[in-house]
Amino acid sequence: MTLPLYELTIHDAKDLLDNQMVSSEDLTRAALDRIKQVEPSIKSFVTVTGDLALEEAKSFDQNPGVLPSSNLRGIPFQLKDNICTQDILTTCSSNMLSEFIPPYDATVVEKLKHSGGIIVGKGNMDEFAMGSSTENSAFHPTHNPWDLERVPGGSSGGPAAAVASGECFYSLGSDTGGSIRQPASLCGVVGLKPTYGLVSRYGLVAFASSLDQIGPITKDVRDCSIVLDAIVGHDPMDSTSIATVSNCYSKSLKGDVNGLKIGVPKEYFEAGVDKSVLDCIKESLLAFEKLGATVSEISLPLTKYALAVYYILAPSEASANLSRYDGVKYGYSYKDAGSIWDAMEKTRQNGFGPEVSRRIMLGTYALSAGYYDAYYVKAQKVRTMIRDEFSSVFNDYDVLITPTSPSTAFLIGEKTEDPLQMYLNDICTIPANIAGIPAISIPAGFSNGLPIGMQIMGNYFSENTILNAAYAFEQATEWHKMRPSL
Amino acid sequence: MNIPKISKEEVENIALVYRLGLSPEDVSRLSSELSNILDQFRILDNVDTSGINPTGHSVSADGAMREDEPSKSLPVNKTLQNAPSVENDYFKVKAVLE
Repeated sequence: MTLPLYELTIHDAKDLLDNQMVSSEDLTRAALDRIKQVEPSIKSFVTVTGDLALEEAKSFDQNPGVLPSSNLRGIPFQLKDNICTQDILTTCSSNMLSEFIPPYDATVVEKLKHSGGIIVGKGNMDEFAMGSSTENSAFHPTHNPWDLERVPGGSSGGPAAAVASGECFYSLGSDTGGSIRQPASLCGVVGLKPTYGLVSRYGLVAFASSLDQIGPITKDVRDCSIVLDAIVGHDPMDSTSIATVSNCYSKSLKGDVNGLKIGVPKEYFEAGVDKSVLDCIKESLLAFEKLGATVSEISLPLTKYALAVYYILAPSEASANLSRYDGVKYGYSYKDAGSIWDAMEKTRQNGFGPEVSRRIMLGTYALSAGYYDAYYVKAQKVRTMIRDEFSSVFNDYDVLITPTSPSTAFLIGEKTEDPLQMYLNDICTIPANIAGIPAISIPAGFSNGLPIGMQIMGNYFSENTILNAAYAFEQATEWHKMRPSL
Repeated sequence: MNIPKISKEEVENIALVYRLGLSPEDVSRLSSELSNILDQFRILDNVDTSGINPTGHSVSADGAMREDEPSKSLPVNKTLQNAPSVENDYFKVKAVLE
């Protein structure tokens, strides 16, 4: 039985395009029809750019020579709505930016356009990427395609749900403390946070600049490497982007883990992680052993401090970054104020939702005179220690394997009352952001019909190694082929 | 680190520093929420960080320095296209000094 087009991976779609079995217009119509069919129940988009996408697809089909051949040419994709798209609404799922039309493309968007990708729309998210469930979107929550009563995770919940439900062939998310990997885990798709600096952040609406990275959300590992190939590289517009990088991740996928040394940090398997998740990851480690890898339990004792470090550093950086929303240059502006200060206060009061205000307050407090050393500098020092702890284990191990999320998808509304409960969802993903190392989440099993994700972390710039390990596991299992019935 | 409970007055002060408007309900909610969250940070007291340098960015960016060469930038009309209020080619704001 042939799969419907919307279920195809990027590499399958490319094969059909190359053999002229389908046109780019066919693929784009398949995605748009799927959006029409499932979007009322999933709600993974903020904006759908259907007409634009079709126009583009037809023009590619009519002028096959117009762009260099690439793996992404003519294939429809989505972008998280915090990635700037020229002349296309970019809202960050916030009332603050509900009418913001960027005058330029983010570097990743330029790169994907140059590769011939076709934008079908912008993905819903937690406001300003702050959250783990996409319930903090100012517009609407997104629903998990595996169970519509449940969250897709967050903050890139729209992108993960869109890829899982076939509304687009791939999407880009951003990951500050797990915002690509955790929703990928909860939606049963692949999500990669690259090494800090591998992908340009120019045009990504800033949340916490020392932690943010853009990365792919895809249906399988090969697709992930194909998208990564297209978006990496130094960018003069982002001084933290790194000059020397490979861009042949997809070509170097071997699927061989014979002799690979896997470390399993026991701190990620302790209290707070569901038994079904633990069992699944342990089972997956056995699969790696069968494939010839060696698996050893290790300890990263500083793991327990990561959450506190993160919730000092990220809100501190956010409070600085979000001070640009003053109602003057762009974004929502309160009109009926008496003074400029009144206008600024009301603009932010009406423009920011509760979680954004909470983090601004937390960050402003942590950075304020008298507390700066006790909170911010202390957290930065512990950050150094966490980074060094990772570096030292990577002397002995090639990759580290852990759960991505302590639980499968939870119910919409289940954790909204208690911010601390919500923050705990990121406990397994935050350390990689603090250290700046790459980490991928791939589908590793199911519990009660809900996907479970496995996280593979690697040393700086060892994307090839973690992609290879992920690919080997994927070749040996069928989890990545599972699709929700919608 | 000695973490006090965050009083409502303190919440109002932080909000004033930031110029973030808050309703009276926000103020009482944040007073208890921030206190609870900051309480969790006490765990860092257990870490001996003497002699440790703080980390700002986890990966050092070698590519940060470049020649200062003029290049194309956004035209004025594009720069102003999202501005809430514009006069001539300028952002228009309320008087800062009265």
